[in-house]
Amino acid sequence: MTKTAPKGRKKPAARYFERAAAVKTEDGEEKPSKPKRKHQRNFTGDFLKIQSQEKSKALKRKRLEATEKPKKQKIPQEVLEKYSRGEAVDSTGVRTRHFKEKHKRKEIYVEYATEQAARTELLLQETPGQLEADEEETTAEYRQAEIVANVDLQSAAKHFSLKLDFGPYTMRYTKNGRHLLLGGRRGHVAAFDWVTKKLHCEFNVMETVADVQWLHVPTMYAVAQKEWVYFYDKKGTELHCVKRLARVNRMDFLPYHFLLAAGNSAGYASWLDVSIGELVGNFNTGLGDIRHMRHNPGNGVLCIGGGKGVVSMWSPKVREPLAKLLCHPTAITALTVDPKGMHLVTAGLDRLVKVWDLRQLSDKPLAIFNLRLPANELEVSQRGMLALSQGTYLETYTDVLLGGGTGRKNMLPYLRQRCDAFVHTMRFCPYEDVLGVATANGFQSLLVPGCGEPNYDALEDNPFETSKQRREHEVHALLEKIPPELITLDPHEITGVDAPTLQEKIDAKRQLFYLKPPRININPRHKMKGRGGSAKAARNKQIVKDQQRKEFIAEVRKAKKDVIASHAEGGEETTGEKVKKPKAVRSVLDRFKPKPQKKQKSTN
Amino acid sequence: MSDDEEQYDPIAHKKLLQAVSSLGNVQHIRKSTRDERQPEQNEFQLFKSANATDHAAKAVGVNDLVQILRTSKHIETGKKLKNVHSTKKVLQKPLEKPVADRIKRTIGYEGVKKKLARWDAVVAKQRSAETQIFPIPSETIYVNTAAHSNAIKTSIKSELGKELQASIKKLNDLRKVQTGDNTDEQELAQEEERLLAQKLTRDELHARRRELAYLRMRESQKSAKARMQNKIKSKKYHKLLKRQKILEQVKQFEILKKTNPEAALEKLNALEKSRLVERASLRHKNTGTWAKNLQMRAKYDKEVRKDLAEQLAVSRQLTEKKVDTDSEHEEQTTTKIETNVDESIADPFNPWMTLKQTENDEPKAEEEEVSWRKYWTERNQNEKLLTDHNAEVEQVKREKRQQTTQPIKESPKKKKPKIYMENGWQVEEVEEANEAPAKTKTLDEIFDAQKDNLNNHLIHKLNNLKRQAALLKRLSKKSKKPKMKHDALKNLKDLTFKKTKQRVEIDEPLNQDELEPKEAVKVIEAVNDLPKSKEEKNSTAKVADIDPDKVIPITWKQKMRLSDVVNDALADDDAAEFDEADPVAERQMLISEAFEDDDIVADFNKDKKDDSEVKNNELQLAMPGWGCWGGNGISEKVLERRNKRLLLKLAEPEKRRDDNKDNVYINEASNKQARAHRVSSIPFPFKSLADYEASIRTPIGREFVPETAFRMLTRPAVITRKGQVIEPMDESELVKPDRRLRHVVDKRIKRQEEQAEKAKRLLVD
Repeated sequence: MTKTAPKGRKKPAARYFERAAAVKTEDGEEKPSKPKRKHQRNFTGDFLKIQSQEKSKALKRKRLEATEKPKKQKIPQEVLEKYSRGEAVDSTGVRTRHFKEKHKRKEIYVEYATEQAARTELLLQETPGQLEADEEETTAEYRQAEIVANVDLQSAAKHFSLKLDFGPYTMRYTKNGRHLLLGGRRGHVAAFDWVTKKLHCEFNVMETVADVQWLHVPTMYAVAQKEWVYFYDKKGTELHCVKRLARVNRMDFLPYHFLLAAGNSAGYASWLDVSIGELVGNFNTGLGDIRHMRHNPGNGVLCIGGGKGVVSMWSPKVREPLAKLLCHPTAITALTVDPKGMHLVTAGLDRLVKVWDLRQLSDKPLAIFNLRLPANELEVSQRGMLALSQGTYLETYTDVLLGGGTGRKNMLPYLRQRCDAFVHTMRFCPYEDVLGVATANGFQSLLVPGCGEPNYDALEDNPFETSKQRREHEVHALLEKIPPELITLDPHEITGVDAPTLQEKIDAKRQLFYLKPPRININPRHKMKGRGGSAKAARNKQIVKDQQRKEFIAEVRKAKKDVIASHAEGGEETTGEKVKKPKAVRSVLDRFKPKPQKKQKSTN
Repeated sequence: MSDDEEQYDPIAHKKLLQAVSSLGNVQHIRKSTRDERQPEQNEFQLFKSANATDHAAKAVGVNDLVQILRTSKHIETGKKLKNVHSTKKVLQKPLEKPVADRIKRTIGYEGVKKKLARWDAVVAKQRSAETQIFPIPSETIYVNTAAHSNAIKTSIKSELGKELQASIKKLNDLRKVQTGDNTDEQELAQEEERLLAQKLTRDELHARRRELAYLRMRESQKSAKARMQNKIKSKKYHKLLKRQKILEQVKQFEILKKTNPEAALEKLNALEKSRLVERASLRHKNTGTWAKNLQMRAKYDKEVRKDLAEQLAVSRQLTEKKVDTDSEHEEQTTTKIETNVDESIADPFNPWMTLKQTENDEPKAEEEEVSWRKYWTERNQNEKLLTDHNAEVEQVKREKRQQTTQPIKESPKKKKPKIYMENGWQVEEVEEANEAPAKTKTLDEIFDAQKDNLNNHLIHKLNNLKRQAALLKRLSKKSKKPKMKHDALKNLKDLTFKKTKQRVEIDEPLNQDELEPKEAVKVIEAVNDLPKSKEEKNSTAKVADIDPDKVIPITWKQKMRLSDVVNDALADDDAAEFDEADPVAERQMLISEAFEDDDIVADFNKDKKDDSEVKNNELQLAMPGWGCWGGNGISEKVLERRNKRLLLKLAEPEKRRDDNKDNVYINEASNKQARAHRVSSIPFPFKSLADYEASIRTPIGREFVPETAFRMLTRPAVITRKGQVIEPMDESELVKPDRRLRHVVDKRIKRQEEQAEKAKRLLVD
């Protein structure tokens, strides 16, 4: 039995989908789902789609002009120049309109960035300053006791001295200037937060200690002991013993490359990547015992002072010195590089201290200081103060280039101090007005007002960093690690274009004369039976080989001829003529060649 | 002869003549042409041409008609017709189809081109835009067009507009009369305004807020409940729920039956209808007793099974979703359009699209001979010199022009045409051609006007100066410093700069202008010298970039105490302590003196020479044994000469960085591994190394630039909103005004563009 709908029956009610479609076509307009404001809700008019428009253009502009002008202070030109990144891209040197436009726009962005950076100058609230002597006084007269008596309690607490018994000391501050590491020749190693005077660890390694060095974080340090270099953590636990760094005299740390540089008594310079524990460079410099070694913070190059008065600069991936500088006709007694990497300061047995321009690398020093005795330690502070020691006596000068103290009365030093024993190491504490002096009898922290940078960049070095910040900084620093092969004299070399050197060009030309035709291997296609026997195949092979060899020889001969022609006596003029001659020969078919472009006549 | 005459039959004669004339003719037989559509076409069907076979009587021409009409009473019509006939030109032969098509196509192409060209500006702008935001931001503005609302302020001034307004008003009035609406519109509007203006009291506000909060709470409660109930899956529950509802309705119906029978009937109908709908919805297609029975029987009865299958098929057919053919069609068209757009946008750098030859003026640097760097530095220097020269020349020109153009600028500004808004359309008032008289000004007049302006300007300045001088004199008298007065008078020229606004100085230590009186005098003196030393200054500017080789090192000596006797006395007692020489240092000195050695310098230079020497620079081309025949007359000398002649020097010694620097050696064979990180040639859009280097001179990271700049520098190229459909642009984009720029940088870019345009216009003028 089937159930069929009767014929005259009414149509069933519309299904839901049909109805929906109908609604859509009927209405057409979608109801805005966003709740409207009241006056919009009661609105009875029509919708007009209108693009955003300025309502009363003239009025608004006037008001803007009135309000905008006093809003921003003009930035002085010199401040802008300080933050400027160099010359802009010349839009004529850029191809295509699109890229021209793009670069023009980018220049404006850069300009804006410099402006913004210059505006942040306002936030640098600490101002640098120096001791200024009253009339008929000089700063050189002031003793430490007087300075301490006149400064605030916090600063006064930064002056202290430690009497220690384990022989001549070496010392290092961390990069943020918060922690201090002391190493006595007779095995004494001590690490402490020198501001709060909180001792992290103190122990005796029961070996001679040649040098100490903090690593990238103030929780780890390296100690160059009698045989090998040991790594310790803040608590004094031995972390590593690196036996490949043997008999090390001097150590230095490149914080952006994560390299621990070491120079040993056999003249080997070594770079240890502390992030992966690998020696990235280890070779003999041929300079003999390395006694004076500092790195250039500007480009990461290691400066090693030798006994022959030469300062040579080394990169871990190049086995020859990048540059050599004959500084003194006598042995070098001390050398240092200023924190900006601009000046190299050397002292020799000839009783001179010389300041060299490291970027220009000129053969004449920028300044020469004539001393009464040769200096045995040198140090430059962040603000460009120079400290030098002669035996037990040490002096500071306000400027590396100009020397002298404030007022410059006949070039007297800024401050001077006599220590109780021979000065072995001196370091200015970063971001503090403090000079740390390690002597044979202990350690002294001296106040040198105005030597440290008053404003610190907390993202770079934060003297007040917490352990969390330290960890974060470590990760960031690791991510931004610079590969060791990028250590070059000019740190901006990476931006340039690689061009072959003269030697390479010569070698390439020379090679042309000793070229052999290459071996040719032919694998002829396997042919079916009856299609040429093995004899025929061999013959064909030989033919092809000969042909290729001949081609090659002809090519090489032509290249050789060109080389000879270009280097023949008389130069290029004769060769130019030679080249021109065959051009003069005319052929009937010349008319099918593309016509040479006409030279544009220069108008006027 | 009469039979001759009789025999003469003109028609026959004509025929004869025709026959004779056609005798010489070939039979003009040609193939049939396919000019009409035919189902069959015989290839061999041949027929004679029309004139050859034209025996048919001539068709009735217009002339005949005229003739007839002339004789009849319709003389005038005949005349007219004749006139028409005589003046009528023969229509030209219609063009051949392909030609006509071609013309049609070209016209169509031009039209489309024109239509598309309207988009050029928009496309160019989008392409060059730094950031594109999709969907393209637009705003919907609500315009209240209710009768009593304030009309939009428009600028209808035309007659038509006024008429329209009047008619609309009339219509409104009429409508009101018809509907019996006697509300006063003005009153309504006022009332509304008043209500809007009226501020709510505090209590009212509180009450309202409470009310709103309550409403919101209720809403959320209800929605939560509904959600919960919807989640219940129990069938029984739903059944019960339904039954409950039905019962409720029945109850209502009962009540209604008593009170309002008519409404009850309606209700009954509605209930019936809802039941019908339910049944028709095929929801119960296999749940009813009939269907269940059928299913049972289907197991044993073939026919029943068949019926059941049919029933199911019917239900399926009914429930099948209908495909909306219209929408499908639309979709197709839209995709088509999209593809078109894609094609037009395509690759902006495709040379085939732009149809423009890219200039390939890249200088072919002979890489073998000249090093890149050298080449580029030379080239840059040359270019720089040229640009400097140009800049100088231009500056001179500009200065000249400034003198001339400034007065012109002061002439009454040309009014910008006002822009009004009309329903979203910008309407610019067309300015009457006022410019014509301005143009007719003669050159002389312009010059005269300029001269006058200049004179005025000068007089004004002179007056100012005089006033200033008087003021200064008075001041100096007060301060009683004759020297100062003198200076001030001298300075008059340079003191023309003055502060436009006096501001309160909040931060005094920041103010660096404070100078001691002594210093102030100095400064004034310095300023005094300014005009004199202008040229000198130029020279000093050149000195600013110092040649490092010519710097004389500063030398000075270490001192223990002041040289003055007075100061010597002042020095402390412990200063004497510093004076005594250290025995250790003494010993060191001795050693140094003993080892002072001149050889160090010589050694260094020797090493330097060795290191900087280019290895394998020479190549002997002479073959050993060749040309060395034994015998008399062959001397070693000749051989040597030959060897020398055939010695090929592979490279000229290049200038080294440490040339002429005695004490410096610089290794030029740079780090091989570092070279791997560098680019091998100048990357594409740059022509010179300097530009390439300049382009990457700035870091854009957060650590290196301020946050605001960082955000600008790293803005994404395309910003899209999540979950929004990006529709293709419509025509409204063509008339859309520029978006208001928010950021400083954007504004600056805009300003620069405008300036460039202005400069271009100036140049053209």
